[in-house]
Amino acid sequence: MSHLLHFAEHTLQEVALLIMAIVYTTRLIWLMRFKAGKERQANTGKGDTSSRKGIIYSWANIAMPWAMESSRKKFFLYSQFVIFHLGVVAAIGLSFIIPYAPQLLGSQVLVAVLQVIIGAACLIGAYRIIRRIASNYMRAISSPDDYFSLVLLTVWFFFAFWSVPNNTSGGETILLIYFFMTAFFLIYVPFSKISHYLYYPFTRYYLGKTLGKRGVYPVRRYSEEARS
Amino acid sequence: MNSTRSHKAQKVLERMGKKLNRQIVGSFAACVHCGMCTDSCHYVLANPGDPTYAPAYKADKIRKLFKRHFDWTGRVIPWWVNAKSVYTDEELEELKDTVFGKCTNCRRCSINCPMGVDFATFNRMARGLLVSVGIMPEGVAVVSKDQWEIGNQMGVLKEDYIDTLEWLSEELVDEFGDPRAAIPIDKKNADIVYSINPREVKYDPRTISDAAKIFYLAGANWTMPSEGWDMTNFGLFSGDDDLGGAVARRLYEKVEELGGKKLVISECGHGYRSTRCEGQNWAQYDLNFEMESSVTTMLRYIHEGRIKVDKSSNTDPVTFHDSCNNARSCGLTEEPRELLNLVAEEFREMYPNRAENFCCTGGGGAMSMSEYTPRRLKSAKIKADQLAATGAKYVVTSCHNCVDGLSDLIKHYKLGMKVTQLVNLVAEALVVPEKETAVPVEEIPAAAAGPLDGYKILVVDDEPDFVSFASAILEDHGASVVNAFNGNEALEVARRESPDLITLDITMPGKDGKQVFESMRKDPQLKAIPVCIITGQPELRKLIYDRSVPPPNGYIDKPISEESLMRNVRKILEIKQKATK
Amino acid sequence: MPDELHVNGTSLRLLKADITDIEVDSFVFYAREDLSLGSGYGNAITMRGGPSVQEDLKEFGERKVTEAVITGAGNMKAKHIIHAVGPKFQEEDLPEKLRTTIINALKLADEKGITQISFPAMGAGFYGVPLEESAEITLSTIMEYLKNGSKIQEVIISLLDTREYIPFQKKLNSIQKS
Repeated sequence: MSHLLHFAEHTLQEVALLIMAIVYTTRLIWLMRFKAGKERQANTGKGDTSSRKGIIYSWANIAMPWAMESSRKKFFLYSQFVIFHLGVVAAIGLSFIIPYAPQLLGSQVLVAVLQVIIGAACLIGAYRIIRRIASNYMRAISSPDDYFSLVLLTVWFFFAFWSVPNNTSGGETILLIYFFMTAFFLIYVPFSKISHYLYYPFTRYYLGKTLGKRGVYPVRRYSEEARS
Repeated sequence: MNSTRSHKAQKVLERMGKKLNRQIVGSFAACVHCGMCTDSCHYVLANPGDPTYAPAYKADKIRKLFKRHFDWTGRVIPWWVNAKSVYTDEELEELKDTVFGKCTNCRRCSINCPMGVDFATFNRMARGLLVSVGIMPEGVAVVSKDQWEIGNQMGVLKEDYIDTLEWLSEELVDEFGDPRAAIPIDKKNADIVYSINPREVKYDPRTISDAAKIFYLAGANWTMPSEGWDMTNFGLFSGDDDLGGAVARRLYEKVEELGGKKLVISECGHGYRSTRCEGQNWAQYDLNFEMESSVTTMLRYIHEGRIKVDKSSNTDPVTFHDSCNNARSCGLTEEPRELLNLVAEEFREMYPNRAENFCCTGGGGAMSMSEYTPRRLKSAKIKADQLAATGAKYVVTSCHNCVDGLSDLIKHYKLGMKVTQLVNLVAEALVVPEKETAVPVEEIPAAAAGPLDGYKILVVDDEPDFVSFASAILEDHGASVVNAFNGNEALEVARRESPDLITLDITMPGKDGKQVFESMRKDPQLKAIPVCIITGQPELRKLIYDRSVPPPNGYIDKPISEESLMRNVRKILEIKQKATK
Repeated sequence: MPDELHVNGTSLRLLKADITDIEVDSFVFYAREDLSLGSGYGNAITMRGGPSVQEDLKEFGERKVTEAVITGAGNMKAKHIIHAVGPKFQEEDLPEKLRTTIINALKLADEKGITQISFPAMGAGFYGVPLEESAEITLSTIMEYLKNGSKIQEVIISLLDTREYIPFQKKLNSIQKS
């Protein structure tokens, strides 16, 4: 292994992670400095729910594709979302496995699993780029950051896919690109839309708290069979 | 700050900084532009191909200000995240068109956002920012000022409100032959203080008397307050938290002054949400009494056996429309269905329903914004399809805005349905004990023979059949009737005959009823003559809300029935007579 | 807390009432530049006063912010209405303009020999002046005007509800203590 690759796998990643942690902490302090609204009213609804239930339901919402009409009716989009985000987890995980537990990649099964997930995420990324450009609805709501973040992740997936075997016999270029991209990704994320997962627990917490108190969450489902 | 920014733009940005809270900041920061919300909005579905209605697109019109001024990336590299400031009053006007004219704050996109972005909440905030610098649709200004200064959204003066309640009381006492059937006003220590929507006093008094019948037959210890009776709250629509707090406080303080034990809120979605929930937060007011929707009250009376109902009185198939504020912001979805099943023989769900129901298209103050009426009716196609699919004859809703919004779209899309409320169906289904039926309902016309004796009424309509029909009813009840078949003739006959009341169709060829009405209101000789509009056309809303001239004294939707015509005509004439006594 | 004080022999008192429904020599209507009565108190004037008020206003055309005109009050309990065009919605130099508007209304009343005048919570509510600011400006401006001598015998501040009343009462109390 070259010095450069060693640096990319270790020092660079550690510095990038440190920067990300500092920026994220600052970001959370910034968010928490805004006051939280107070709700004085007694609960509404049938009485079988509460803020607490609403919060749990709201957090779990993402894993319940049947819960929202938008994910229920667009199951293809929802499936893409799941695979794409699993791809992110896998590709990030890879950046820890290679430097700290490379022996795990001796398992052909793990290599195959990671490659299938990351490869599928890469293809979905490509599809998402096309969708964002081709749909006038998506174009109308897209900023340069939206396009860049998507392209960044898709290209990163591409190099992660080829980095999974952790094989330098054919040269280090792919691994170098993957690790430099990972470091860039970690530093860029807090400043881009990709930081949405940082806010996710908060936005869903507050929506769940309100709608739980109001008896709206969990959403009461009606029987579709009743239609026929 | 940029010195080229207009004063109003500057004030909007300054106030935005004060209004931001953690929930709103989270909603601003968390959107990933995934587009999952797009199809959840009825405006989008009814305007295919137009992305300017997409919730995320509309949200970005506000979000760009947040990003430019409060979010770090946007402050450093604004173009990268589409962050942009606002500089001119024209830009604020454009924002007005989006936040008032392209969204009813129904919250359907909020519950369909994977990230939990509550667009409706910050859209309301943006409305409030614009209102604070005087930028708002004219109807919003008219209604807000009425609620600030007169105490209710429709500018009903205290004496008119009291006269109406007293007139209704006389009717109720006559009907039941019992003085206890009267509506108690400002009774101390009542179990129930009943608050209503001013639309009920002004244009739909039947909902008040139906509620009064239910309270009377249930033997309720109830009252209606002489002030602080308007449970609606335009602050919810205009985004003005101060107005929201002021209106709610008037209600709460009145209940406490009367020593009331429970505030019951008549069927109105935004009124229920504002009074039951948001009002306490806006007013920063903690209550020592309970509140509930009249739907819950009626259901409890049936369960407790205090009133008896017979569902065979309502045989037509009915469907139920969930108001957005009841269903998506207050969880009031099951009680109305339970009640409906007790008072109507055939209830058919519409789909989707409950929290997933589509907006009536009249919410968020849309009924008062006449400049957006064509947009509103176009977007109502989604609701119209939903209604038509049920095959029901009646659509029942627990919201006055929904009543108006649905009535307009039913006529626009020629669905041939009628809109009603649970209180009307419950009153219809009431089983009145023998001793309390002093005057059987069928005998009312006979008992009230000649109630219009001595009154001269001008009936204006371009349809001769309608003129004959209405004239025959009015003459049967003792009125002398004169007719006119177009606008110019109406003005001529009105000047010549000086009638006591004019019933006016507003969709006539040539000089239409709206112009005729405005001419009458501006004419020194005619301006004092009460006018009852007979129509169903959405143009009516402009007369009610924008009010370049004083609004009509009543209106009736076509097709009319003898009962609705007589009730409205008598209310206007007899209350006017009371007032002049 | 007190609801009344005297300045130079003139009574200045607070009243919880609808300004368009009290028996008073004159009251101030916070008017628009085009002098159309519009909704809110304007609606109450139209309904309670009848058509004559808007008719009377025709002769004045439009007026600039801070100016005031006087009309009859038709069938209302009041005799006169002073239509004072006040500043609105956070407009520039609002406090100064509000002071001038109040002074102009008082001057007009003096010119017309009116001895009793009622003010609402000037600019508060729909036009967005915070109640504390409205109380401060309304009361201090009136006091200052009365100190310089006036034939007005009674100034009544008509406040719609307790929400409006309390800040004015607090301000009046602090003035009295100082």
